[in-house]
Amino acid sequence: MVFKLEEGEKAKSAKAITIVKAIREALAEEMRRDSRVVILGEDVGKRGGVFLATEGLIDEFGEERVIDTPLTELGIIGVAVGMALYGLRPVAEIQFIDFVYPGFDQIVNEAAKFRYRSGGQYSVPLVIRSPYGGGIGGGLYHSQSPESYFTHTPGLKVIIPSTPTDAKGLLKSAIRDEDPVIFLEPKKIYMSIKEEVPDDIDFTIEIGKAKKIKEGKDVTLISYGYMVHVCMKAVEIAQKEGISVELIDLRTLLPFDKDAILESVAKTGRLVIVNEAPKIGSFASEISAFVSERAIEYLLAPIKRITGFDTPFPYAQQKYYMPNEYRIYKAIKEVMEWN
Amino acid sequence: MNSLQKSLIIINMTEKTLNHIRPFTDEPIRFIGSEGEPLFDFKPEDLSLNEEDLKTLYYYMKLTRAFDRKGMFLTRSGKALFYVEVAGQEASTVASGYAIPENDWIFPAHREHGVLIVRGYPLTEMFAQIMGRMEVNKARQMPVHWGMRKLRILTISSPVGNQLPQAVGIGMAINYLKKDEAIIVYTGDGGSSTGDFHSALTFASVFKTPVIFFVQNNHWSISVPIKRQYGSKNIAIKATAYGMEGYYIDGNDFLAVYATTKLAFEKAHNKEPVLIEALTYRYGSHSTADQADRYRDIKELEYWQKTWDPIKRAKLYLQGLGIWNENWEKELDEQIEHELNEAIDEAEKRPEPPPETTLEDVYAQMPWHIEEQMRELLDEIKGA
Repeated sequence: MVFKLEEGEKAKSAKAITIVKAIREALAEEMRRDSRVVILGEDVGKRGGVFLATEGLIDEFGEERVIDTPLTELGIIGVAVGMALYGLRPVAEIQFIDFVYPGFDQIVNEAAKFRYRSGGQYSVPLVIRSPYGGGIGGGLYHSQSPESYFTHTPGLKVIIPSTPTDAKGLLKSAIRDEDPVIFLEPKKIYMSIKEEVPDDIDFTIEIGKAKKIKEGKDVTLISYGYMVHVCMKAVEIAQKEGISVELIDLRTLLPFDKDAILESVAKTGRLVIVNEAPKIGSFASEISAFVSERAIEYLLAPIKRITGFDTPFPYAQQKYYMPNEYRIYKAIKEVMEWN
Repeated sequence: MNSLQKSLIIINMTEKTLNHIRPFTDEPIRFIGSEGEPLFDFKPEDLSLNEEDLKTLYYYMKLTRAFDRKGMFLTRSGKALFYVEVAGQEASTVASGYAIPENDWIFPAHREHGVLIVRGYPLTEMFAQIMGRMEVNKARQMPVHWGMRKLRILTISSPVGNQLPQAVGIGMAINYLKKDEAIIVYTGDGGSSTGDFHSALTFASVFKTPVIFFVQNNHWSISVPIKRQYGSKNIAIKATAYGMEGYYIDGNDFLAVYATTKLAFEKAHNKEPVLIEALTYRYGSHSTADQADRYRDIKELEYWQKTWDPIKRAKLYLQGLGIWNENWEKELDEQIEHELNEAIDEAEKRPEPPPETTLEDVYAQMPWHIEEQMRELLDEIKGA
């Protein structure tokens, strides 16, 4: 199937690269292009990051630009805010997004609000990139999907890519953006998905644009991050059962692509939204509310949200916690059969 | 060649003065006593201050105290919704502000009015902010949350302490871009208890950033006394754990504040971060939303006002030098009253921020969802 990227033709090319490699390329290209870009975080230097996203960068750019920091997320983010205020383009790595909370005040009260509170005198062009999400046996503190904390914060942009190409193009756009961006990387598929990725220095992908992964006419399925790939499997099952599903990868959560969502729902009249995060207050809930307000006249069935449970993320029980293709397919079937 | 000689020499103080400014003293560093008497044999020139400087410092301290009275009056008369008093801390703010080199950066907290006034923050802008009139930050924040980029003053926020790591980040950027600049960041005794304080001093010492941490220890964090903020003998001593120098100074002695801050800038420009603890006292309540008499013994306040008042001490010192007299004091009072009234009048003539400013400046470019909310707001106003 053309939309199954890990088995697609492009993946067979010798030039195909993983998401981690795509991120590293994006960082290196932007650092070569703009001397204001610096990286800081724990283990980003000689270790190259615990997932190797910054591997080798210290050799090319030196320790002035690839900065191993003391172990304090609040310090990393607070300092990065200051660098951005002064005019640098810092990219702060938080080793796992589960550890971001000591720096939460710096993100929510400072990075996100500086432009507004200063009447536009100051801005914070900062990228905070971090692996997020479950599926690697990380238990409570190496698995979280806290994107909704950030999508609830005016002043931030929130991006979650699902492919190497999107990771590269969107990260480059994030670094060039004038505002703070939370860039969450689905670590479950850091190394497992490969594709050929443009290596043009000016290749970027516009922030705020969703991507239609597959055309369909019966049901709209919206997701982002690793869940896009689980959705692909559900779409395949549905296809075998004669249900045509349109799959949309949001890619940017804040600001999200309203037109892509509304056009698809107007066509299919049915909507299933999938995210890994707990259900209450999830981004799936926001999309559901948005469609209810804007497009209820097109809906033929209730909107369904398939999400993680409203529990912490467990270790041994991970397989039960993570939404899977069968749960998603069941929801697709339910909205098809609803009357 | 020691580190002081290496620098561009932004100070020109004599050995006599420099020998008096030692880190980690048990008693606060003091140049003048409670009656303005010099505590050792020095002249203003030893601090690189001339008669004009001394008179200017005195004027700014009086202006800051008078500004406070106006701020309180505006709140009581309903023209402002809130105010934070700085009374009692005039030497700490004015004299440190006077020591800041022109090109260096300032990240104030919420009780640094004197620093801003000395930097040249227009009084009209300050009052306009308090009264919610159009000003450079567009009056989105509560009163006393000032900031002005063209004066290199960062716009403050309300959470205590979180400006500290940001100042260090600015210091790291200054180092990276090889600029000969430094930054002074202010906080209070409460701020010294935060995680931000620890992270900031850690980063500052590891990366040798040109940052001065200026702690105004005014004895009270709203109602919580300093014995609940630290178990150490003072705050300055904490610097030693970070491999930095910490100066424990009398924050109500304008000469000690000036000279120590000057020296700190010298060190900061040489990539030595410095911690200064200025011991001072908050005369008023935390803000107009607080009543200090609910938790503070009036005798403590009276002791500080009577014994250590920074303006009284400066006056007596100037008197001792023969450069103060009643006539000049009267002239100053009149001039200050006129300046402040004129600034308030100007500020009151300013318009309120237009409704569009509610939704602008969240991002560099307005995204669709805020554009929609803008249309809704403007329609609502048109309909009303």
